[in-house]
Formats: sequence, structure tokens, C-alpha cells
Amino acid sequence: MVKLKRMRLDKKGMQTFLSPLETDVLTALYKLEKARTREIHRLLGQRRKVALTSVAVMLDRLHQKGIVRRAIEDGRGGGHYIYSPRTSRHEFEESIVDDAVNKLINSFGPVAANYFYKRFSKKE
Amino acid sequence: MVMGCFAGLVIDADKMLLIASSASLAVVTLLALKKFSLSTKAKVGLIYGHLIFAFFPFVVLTTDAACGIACMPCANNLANLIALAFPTTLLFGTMAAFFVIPGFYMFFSRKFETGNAHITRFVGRYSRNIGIKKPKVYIIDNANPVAFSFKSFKSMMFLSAGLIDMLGKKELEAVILHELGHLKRKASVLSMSFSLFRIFSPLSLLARFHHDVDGEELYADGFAAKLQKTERHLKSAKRKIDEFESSKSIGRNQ
Repeated sequence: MVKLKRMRLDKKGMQTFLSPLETDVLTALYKLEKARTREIHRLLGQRRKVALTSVAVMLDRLHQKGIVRRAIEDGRGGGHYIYSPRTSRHEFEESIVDDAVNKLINSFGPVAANYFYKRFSKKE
Repeated sequence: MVMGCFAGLVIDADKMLLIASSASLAVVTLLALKKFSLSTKAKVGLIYGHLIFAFFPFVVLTTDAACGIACMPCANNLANLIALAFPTTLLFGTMAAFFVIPGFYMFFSRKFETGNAHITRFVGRYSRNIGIKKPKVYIIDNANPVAFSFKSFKSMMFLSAGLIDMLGKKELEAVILHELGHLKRKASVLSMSFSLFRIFSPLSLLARFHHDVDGEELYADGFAAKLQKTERHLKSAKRKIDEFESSKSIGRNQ
């Protein structure tokens, strides 16, 4: 699902792929499962100072990357977006690993495939 | 003979005079537009006048070529060509004004008419108060904070979901009043006409009309502030819109 452009190996978890604020926004969305921008902002605001507009920008960026889905809910408050994660957190992290491994195999071919074989057969 | 009637475009003295007169009138309308302080209606009229005069020679020459290819008697007959080309130019000008730009927004953007009771009631109440026809309010699927309105056959107001996401109730009302201000002044027709002018007129590069558009924005801001009895909400809405634009660069290098 995820297509990595760049991976930051000095970071851990989702931050290898996402910016710190994108990671916080996505983590909050995993917690809420389905939420409006201002609900995510309220949850994040309990831990750090962040502008509502920055949360809106991060959500739009996560949507463009295909990590979250959104739908317009024309409720009482008027045509706002409702965001939800496309996959579970586990599936999302798995897709990051999958894409990274595929990229290594595509770049280094048999060397990478051999390495993985030796590395994981040793452990058995 | 199939192509025998068409002996190529002949630009004789009469046609040259027609092209020169039409181009001169296009320049005169452009100068009048730039020079005089006019009402919205007059400005819109001049813009379309300018576009029609700018395009008229092209339509005449195209009609001439078409008549030649079809072996029709209108080929090389200036009176016939004018009689055919003038209504064609007017027709295309009108179609561009009333269908092309509104049609673009109506058919090529994902949108739906809002069922939000607060917005529709608010728009209805203030439209009655200021004496304009209540516009239909559409929500567009766009995360950027965007609001615009225009009037062709019917009045329409477009608000993006991203705008509604980030504005509070009073801020959203301020933006809606700003748009109603535009509709009251028929400024949307003017800005739409300026868009057509910029897209289609070869002379648009020589003239800039920022002051007209800025003036309309100032009027709409004042209109919203007057009705809300404060400019606090509009200013705060604008600040959030600016913040959204500057937030776009956060973590871009990740």
C-alpha cells in the first residue's frame, strides 16, 4: 500500500517514513478510529501546542499519501471531513517494512536476496 | 471540384479595414476599462465588448475560409461575412460568459448542495435582508480553505470542506457574508469576466486590473464587518487561511 520515497533510518517506527507531526496526527487518528480535524486537534492539544490549521494540513497530506481516507459529512455543523485510517496500525507498519525490503531487493538484486536468505536461515 | 472553390484566404483592402477597425475598438474598450471609474455593469459590458472586437476579425477570416471550402457565396463577400460572423462571435461570447466558467465549477468539481440547516438558514436570512436572491450553497471536496461565489443564471456559493473544518461558527458566517457582499455587487460576474479577459484576450498582458479585484475584496470585507458589527471574525478567518498556507511547508522534507 505505502510507497516510500525516503526512509529516515535514524528515526523509529512510523517516523522513519512520516514527519513527527504527521506521526502524531496519525497516532491520534488510530486512537479515535474516525474523527473530524478539530477532534484530532483537541486530542493532540492535551499533550502539545499545535495549530488546528497544521493538523488540517497533515491530514490532507496523509490523505494524499493514501494512508487515511476521508468523506464529507454534511451534518448539523456543515460539510466537514471525517477522517479514518485506511488500514490498522499493524498493517500500515507492515506495509512500510514490505516496501523497504522490496526496494532493497530491486536495488541490489541477488545480493540483497542472498543476504536475507543467509540472515534469516542463520536464525532458524 | 472538392476544394476548387477555396483559393486561399484573400485579405483585401476592405478586410484589412475591418480588421483594423475591430482591433481599434478592442483597444478603445480596453483603454476605457482602464481609464474610467465605472459601475460593475459597465465594466462587464466593456470586457465583453473588448473580447468581441478582439475576436471578430478571427471569426470573419474563419467564416471566410469555411465559406470558401463549402463553395458558398459568402466567400469573399464582406457584407455576408459580417452578417454571419457577428452573431457567431456574440453567441460564443455569451456562451463563454454564462456556461464555460460556471459550467467548469458545476461539472468538473466534486461538490454537493449542502443540507446543513445552519448554513442554509443563515444564507436565506441575510439574502432576504440585503435584497438578493438566495444562492444555492455547495460544498466542494477540497481540503484547502476556499470560498467563492458567482451568478450567471442562478446564484451559487461554493465553500470547501477544508474551510468548514477549520473555521468556527462566527468565522464561517463572516466568510459567507463576504461572499454575499460579492453577490450583492455582482462582483462575481466582474471577476469571472476578468478571468475570461485574461484567458482569451491577447491584449490582457498589456493591462492589469488588480485594483478592481482588490477593491471588490475590500468592499466585501467591509460588508461582512458591517453586518457582523465587528471585523474580528473575518480577520480571524483570514488569519487561519493564511496559517493553512504557511503550514503546508511543515515537514515537507520528510
